[in-house]
Amino acid sequence: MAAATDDAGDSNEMIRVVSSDGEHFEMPEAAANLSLVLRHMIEDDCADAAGIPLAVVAAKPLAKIVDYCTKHAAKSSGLTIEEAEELKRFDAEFIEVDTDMLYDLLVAADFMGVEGLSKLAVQRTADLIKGKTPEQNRETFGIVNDFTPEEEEEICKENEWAFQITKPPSRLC
Amino acid sequence: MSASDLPDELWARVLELGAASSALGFRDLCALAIACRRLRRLSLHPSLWSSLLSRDFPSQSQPSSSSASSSSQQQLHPKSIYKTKFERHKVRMAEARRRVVFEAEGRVLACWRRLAQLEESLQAEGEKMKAAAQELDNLERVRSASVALNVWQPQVVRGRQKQLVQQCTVPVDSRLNDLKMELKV
Repeated sequence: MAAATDDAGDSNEMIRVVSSDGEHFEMPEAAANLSLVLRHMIEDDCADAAGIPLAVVAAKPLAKIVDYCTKHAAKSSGLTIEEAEELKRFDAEFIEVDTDMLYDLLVAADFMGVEGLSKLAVQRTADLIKGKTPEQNRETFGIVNDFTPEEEEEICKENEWAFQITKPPSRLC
Repeated sequence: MSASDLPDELWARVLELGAASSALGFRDLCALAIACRRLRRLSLHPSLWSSLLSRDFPSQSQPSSSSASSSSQQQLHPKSIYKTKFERHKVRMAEARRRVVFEAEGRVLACWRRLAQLEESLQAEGEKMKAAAQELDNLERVRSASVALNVWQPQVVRGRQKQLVQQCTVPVDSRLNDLKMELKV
């Protein structure tokens, strides 16, 4: 316990993490603390020179996450309006990724318990869904249509009410 | 990694947050329902539709979500409640639109009627003007005849002019009248 408080007091310390494919990353402890999992491990004194192994996070998304955490940890408290704006811009640019990376980030942020990033990725996914037709959704997210033709017809019928906005519902008049 | 590798839990969170932050609407959820089996199942989650209900129909959903849903939740999925409300709303919108069209048509009709009236009175005025011009013309002739009477003329001409002047009974009044009419036109 004493070691943990020591660690928490020393925010300059670098924390090492290891991706599932064996790549090493370093970030300041304040950044690592944005991840619930890393924070618990640091508190439990599991952060050693060998690095904390993250078994389900590959190097590519981990690099992004380290980026995100470092940026956000540096600007976590006492933000001016301009800094908040800049952070917002950073987020917007940060999440401009292809769907593969987006899934990786969704899963990794969820696994690591990085709440802000998790929310960002979830919101981005929701924004990608917005305004798309079923076919466009399948295309965007690589979804396979697993309905039988009969099922599909039924489901389309079941949901058609949502798509005929311009046509006046004559049978209901 | 593809969308199908994402755990249900994450998809559910996407839908939940999307519905809560109003990024996703009823049409998006319905579009997802058609995409594949899993998304259909996830998009049917009652809480999603409940939050859409309270967002899109705030005035009506309060009583139904507190009292009615507790008793009839098992029979009625929030999605079908949403659908019913949506369709009712659509009918109401259509009715409102129809009413507006009716009113506009009434206004157009009134304008047509007024136009016809105006055309009629224009025609009447035209005829009046023609009559006035005719009368003016006549009076003009009478006047020149009466002036001519004051100078010497052969008897025949004089007689004819006298007759013309005598025929005209109200020369001055008529002329005044005439001028007024012309002014009016």
